[in-house]
Amino acid sequence: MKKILRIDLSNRQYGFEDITPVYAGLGGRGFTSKMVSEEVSPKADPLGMANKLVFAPGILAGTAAPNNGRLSVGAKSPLTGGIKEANAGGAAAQKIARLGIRGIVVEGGASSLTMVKVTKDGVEFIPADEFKGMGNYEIIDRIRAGHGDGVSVISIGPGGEKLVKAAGISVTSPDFKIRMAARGGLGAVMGSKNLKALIIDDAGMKGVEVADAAALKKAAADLTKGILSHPLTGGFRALGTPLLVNMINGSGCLPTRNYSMGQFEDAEKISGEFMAESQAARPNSQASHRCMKGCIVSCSNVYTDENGEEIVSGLEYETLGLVGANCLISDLDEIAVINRLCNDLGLDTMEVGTALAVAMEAGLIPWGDGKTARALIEEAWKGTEKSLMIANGCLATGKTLGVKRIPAVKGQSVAAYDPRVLKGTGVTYATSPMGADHTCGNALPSPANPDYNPTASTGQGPVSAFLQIFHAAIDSLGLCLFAAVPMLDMPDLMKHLIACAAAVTGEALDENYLVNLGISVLRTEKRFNEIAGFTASDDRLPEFFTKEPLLPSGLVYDVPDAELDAALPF
Amino acid sequence: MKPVIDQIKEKQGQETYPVKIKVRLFGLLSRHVSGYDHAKGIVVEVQEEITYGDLITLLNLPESEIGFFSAGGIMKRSEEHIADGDEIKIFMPLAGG
Repeated sequence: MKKILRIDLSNRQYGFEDITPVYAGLGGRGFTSKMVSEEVSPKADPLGMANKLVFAPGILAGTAAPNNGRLSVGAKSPLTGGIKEANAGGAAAQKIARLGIRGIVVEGGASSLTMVKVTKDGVEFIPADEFKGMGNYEIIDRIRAGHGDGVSVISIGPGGEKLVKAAGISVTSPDFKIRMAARGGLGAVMGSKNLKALIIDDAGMKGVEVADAAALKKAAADLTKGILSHPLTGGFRALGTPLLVNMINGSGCLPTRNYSMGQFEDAEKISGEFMAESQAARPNSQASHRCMKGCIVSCSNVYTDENGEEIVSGLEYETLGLVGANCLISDLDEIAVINRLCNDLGLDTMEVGTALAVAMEAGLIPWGDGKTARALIEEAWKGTEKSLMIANGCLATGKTLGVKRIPAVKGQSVAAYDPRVLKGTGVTYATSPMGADHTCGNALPSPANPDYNPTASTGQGPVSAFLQIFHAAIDSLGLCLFAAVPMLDMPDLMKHLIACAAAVTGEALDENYLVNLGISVLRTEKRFNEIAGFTASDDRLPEFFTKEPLLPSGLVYDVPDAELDAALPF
Repeated sequence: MKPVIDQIKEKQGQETYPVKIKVRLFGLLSRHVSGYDHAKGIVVEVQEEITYGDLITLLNLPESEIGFFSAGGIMKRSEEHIADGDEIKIFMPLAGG
């Protein structure tokens, strides 16, 4: 029987609790959002002691199901002021699951910088004053040296310590690469609690118990086979998410020059195809990489410099789109170095990329000048005012510099898909309880659904709603997005996923399981935000998307407000 | 293996046609076309305007691996016609991340 681990940092105490009926059947995002809505006032100060930071593996974590290791992190967000869940791959979720823990609730705040180690024997509080101001790369190395290769490290960099709103939480992969629960400023919540790192050590634990191992084995095999048969899986393995650069550029919706154009003339130079070719000539680079055990997609990469030294792992599409095209930076190495810097400081590259572009529009940095952009971010080690402005994200930067075109919804920056072309994605940006978040439901053209037109002005609400429900369920299972999206083209696979969940939990789950789960999660999140003060006017895209035609298509965002208001009718 | 343009000409059974279309392949699609050079792309010559769907048949690309098309930075559907001089991009199915 799994337990909830509650850690009180103020009193350096902890305890294990049985799972009450309120949390039955919930994991990942479902668990974190329920816990935050039950125990944190929507009116609470996100950086105050009444906020709680919740970590939860998904329902499938640590089992034979494929790609099951996403770790959900939840709290009230200092960036959006609403409920937040950000998730990351890595090793931590599966280790937490193996420790028999359904979720970790971190409360209060320590009087000085602290690390917490969770093992089979309980919880240890470790003073961490010596790690003050330390970057994620060094702290991971130090913890690894002190606690061995069997641990996973969940940590914050100086960004989280300085309470900036673009601060993310780093989670290590089995080979100690950095993954990031990046969005929504959850690193600042961790920093506000003086929690520098959580060390998860599952030594001495066996595998995760499941209700019906034989049924799970079959369902997992069927699901795996289906995912592998989707052509995109091979594409992601060969080229990673950078594969998307040419695709999105070709679709005319690659954010360019602070969302003023939909195509970047140097897109090929930052594309997956180009990266694969140029990296193949460099020692120690890896075109594919797994961030979690049991991954069948391998979408990540290891990007190296000319001497074979690792710059970053992995270099992802969103970073290429927002730090690259959106800032007119076309030097892959420079983008990789900025990515590493963000990882080290513990910052969300998407929020930083959009903030840099806004700063370029204001004239603070020349367009396309990666070196000046990097130098500005580097100042965050010292905490200069301008660097902290960028580290507080796109909205804060735009407000400070007097820029009118700020691509953010509910305070969170839009992703690297322009909503004027992908209008269903625009509905997700506008209406998701998370703020503008493509991982909540990205509505893309699909050969399996030839009738769907992403550029149509109407009919986008139901498409976004279905995707938001589906992704809320996927995030609750702990399933990686890239194991999930093939199901959108091959709906038959969903029954295998439901069979996996049924075999793990021992519950009889019907075909409506995913939809019911997703709706219940979204309903919980919407209620929280309503009490926090969000209204329909917060479910809107920034005005410039509705007024400025995007070249080359000439499209504006024209999905009617009524359709946005009706998108999530629960 | 013959260069792809020769294969196409053989299929067409004639040397040149009035409508010229330049095609570039992305993701892993180029592995289906021997001798594909991304810098040059493929030039297809046809008798009259064809649709994007026809182009897939002509190039003998596996339909299951085709996601979408674009020309001039605008997404195109398979039933749409391709005009003379168009530069076409063909992509695999898409998913965001």
